Amino acid sequence: MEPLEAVEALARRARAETPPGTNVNIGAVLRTARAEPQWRLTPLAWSAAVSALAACAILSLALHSNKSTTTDPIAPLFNAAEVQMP
Amino acid sequence: MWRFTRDRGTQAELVHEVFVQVYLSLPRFRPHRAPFEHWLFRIATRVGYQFWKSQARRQRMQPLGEFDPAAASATDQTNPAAAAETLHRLLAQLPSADRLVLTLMYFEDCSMKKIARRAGWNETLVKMRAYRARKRLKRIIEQNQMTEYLTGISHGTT
Repeated sequence: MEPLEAVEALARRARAETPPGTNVNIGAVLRTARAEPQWRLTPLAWSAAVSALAACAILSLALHSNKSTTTDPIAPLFNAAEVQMP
Repeated sequence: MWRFTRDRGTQAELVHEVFVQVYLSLPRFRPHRAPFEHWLFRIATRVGYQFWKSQARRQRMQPLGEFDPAAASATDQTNPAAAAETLHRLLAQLPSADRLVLTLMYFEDCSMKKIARRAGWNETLVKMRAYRARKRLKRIIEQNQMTEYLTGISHGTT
């Protein structure tokens, strides 16, 4: 018999086993569930938070690049000096 | 949860955890999308799988070398519980994801589609894992020269 055929035959026999039952203490279940942290974010809240962070990052980058290229008051002076050099 | 552990105490803890998760996830249950039973099975499968993963992180798997077929054959192998115990220990040698696929396949006789639904995985991924897991299992059996032993148990002749 092939190894996997042997395992399948073993599984057929194993499926006949009756698993033992377990009692559930509903009071303990409720106590544990209520003790769980309630601050978990839902998928929608996660996506909103990530979008807001991404928007902030893009905005901050845009403002920074804008400032460095167009609002530097000394840059035109240097450019003018270079042009007038013999 | 008996398919995830053979220890009665751990089984009780896992069942407790399943009910806690059911209680916490109840607001997200959509009756029109799936029957309650399917939803419950999915939560139970996830809890069992997480248990295996945490167990694998905590301790290395028990090598099969410690499993003595001679000692095991001293017990009543015609008993389905003994066959289930052997199969459980054999599947415990596999990584958690492979183990889950083969446990649902062998113990619960689940189809690929059903395994995909219960594990929350894609059906193609399940097929690929089943193929890989069976290949690994075959290698483990051959390396430990267990084919004859397993054949004996499955026919109740050892």
